[in-house]
Amino acid sequence: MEVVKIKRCIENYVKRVDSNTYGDIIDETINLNILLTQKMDDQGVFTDAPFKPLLPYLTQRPTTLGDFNSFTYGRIPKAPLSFYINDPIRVEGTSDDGNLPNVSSYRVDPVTGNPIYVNNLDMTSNSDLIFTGVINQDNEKLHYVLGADKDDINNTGVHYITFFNEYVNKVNNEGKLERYLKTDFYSDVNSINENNVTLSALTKQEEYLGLVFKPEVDSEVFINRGVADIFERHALLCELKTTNDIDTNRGGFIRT
Amino acid sequence: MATGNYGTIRPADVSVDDIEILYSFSPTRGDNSSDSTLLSLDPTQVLVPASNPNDGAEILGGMYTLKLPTNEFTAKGFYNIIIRPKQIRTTIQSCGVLSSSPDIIGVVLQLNDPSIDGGDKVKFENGNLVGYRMEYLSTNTNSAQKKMQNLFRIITSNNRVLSVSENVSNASAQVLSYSFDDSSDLVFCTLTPSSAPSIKPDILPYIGEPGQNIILTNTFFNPIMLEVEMVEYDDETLAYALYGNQTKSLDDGIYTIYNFDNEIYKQYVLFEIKDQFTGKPLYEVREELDNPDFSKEFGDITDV
Repeated sequence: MEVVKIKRCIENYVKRVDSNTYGDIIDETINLNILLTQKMDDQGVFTDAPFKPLLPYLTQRPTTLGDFNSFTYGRIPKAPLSFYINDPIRVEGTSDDGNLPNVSSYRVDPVTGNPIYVNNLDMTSNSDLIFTGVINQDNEKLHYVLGADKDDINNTGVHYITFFNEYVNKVNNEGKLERYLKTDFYSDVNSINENNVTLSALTKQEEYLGLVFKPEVDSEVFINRGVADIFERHALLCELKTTNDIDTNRGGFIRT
Repeated sequence: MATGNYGTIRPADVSVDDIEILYSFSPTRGDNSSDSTLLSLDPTQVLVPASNPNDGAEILGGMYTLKLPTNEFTAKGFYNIIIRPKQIRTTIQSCGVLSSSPDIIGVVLQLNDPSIDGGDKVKFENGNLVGYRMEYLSTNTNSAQKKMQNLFRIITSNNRVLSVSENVSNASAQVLSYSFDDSSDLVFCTLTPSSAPSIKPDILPYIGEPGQNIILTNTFFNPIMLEVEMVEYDDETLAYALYGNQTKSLDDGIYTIYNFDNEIYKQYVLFEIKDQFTGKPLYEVREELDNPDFSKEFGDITDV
């Protein structure tokens, strides 16, 4: 971080005219000009965490330290993948009502023309394993789930609650007004578990991180092999025909 | 042959809304009496960007005027002022992959997290967090240091996503993944680096943990520290005493030093202390007057 040293004299801000406020600070601010800059480069950033094993070695997943975090606690030798998978926390948010057609029955109300939602009616094609449909409903809201485990509907899949009486207005990218029913969603399913994560990491080709150096060729290679035999220096001196040869011969090896 | 530029330094045109200012005060540079207590200043109140002289509505870039309020910054001593990018604190909701690209891993943030200021929510819109730095707080509840030191990641993309359940052919082992949906309030951020280098493919590409508290910081400018030394006297005030106008009233012994605007800068009374019995002078005294005698204004005296 750059450090800028500035000196200001308090006298510059003091009133020195004949009045009851003689000697008081009259300015409201002390103004300093500063220069803010932004430094950019395209160098890749990587933190190569040193291997710090957690000691003593554990044979079971630590449970007393909060969520296991290998960056905080160090790695555990031979730890299985399950050590790294923490319990899921609820993922929740809001969305639009675009998933309502996925759970509506094929019937419509003959009076209003609105689709009829039927509790516990599975609308998925794979109904042996999956449940996609309405869980419960009342006049205000519809609670439905997409892709839940048929044997554990409440804890799996993505749950949606669409409110019939609450609308959300939104301007889309084309500038047109879109209106949809307010919809909350939540899921207690983990985003990372043994089914989509392995312990073998992905790789990055470091040569493409963005740093490019101009190739340099050192042509003045000189290898001092030592004195090979007692006649070597004499032989070398025989090759010197001019004084310039003294400087250039053998890359400057021979000095007078 | 040019190898291409890969870096530059540009004058920052950052908005004052993206800046944080902290300061501490020390009466002397060598004050060891106490640890520095950092206080904060509102940048929108004290920092003014310079405007382009040809167009007042266009920020010049680089030059900012820091207007320190005199009710806080006129004590004699040293003010250390840190001007740094603004921090946003929030919590990782989840770490997951995109539904359509399972090899792209990222962290999921909640736009409506109450710890995010209302004014900062717009920064979580699609693409606005690119270039932000993500730093991590420790998940170790027993750790004395709450921050995971020397660890940060850079956000390379952020988009609103909706969670979808994956692996539905085996429902008991299903996982969540994320698909782009601008109506959602979840934000999927990809980070760099999120993969290990080819030379050490077995090291961990750490990007965070669900539930982990993080700090998001913009990288719009380099932080700087100002050491503002407030002094009572400088070269100018010393020049008042050397080269400024002065008067000495022979009647009442009032000695006045004027600044270069001929305003009373200092005023003293000069007198002698004599032995009360012999009348022999013992001391010559110059004593500063707290309340100046304004009848000794330079203009009044020299007009006589």
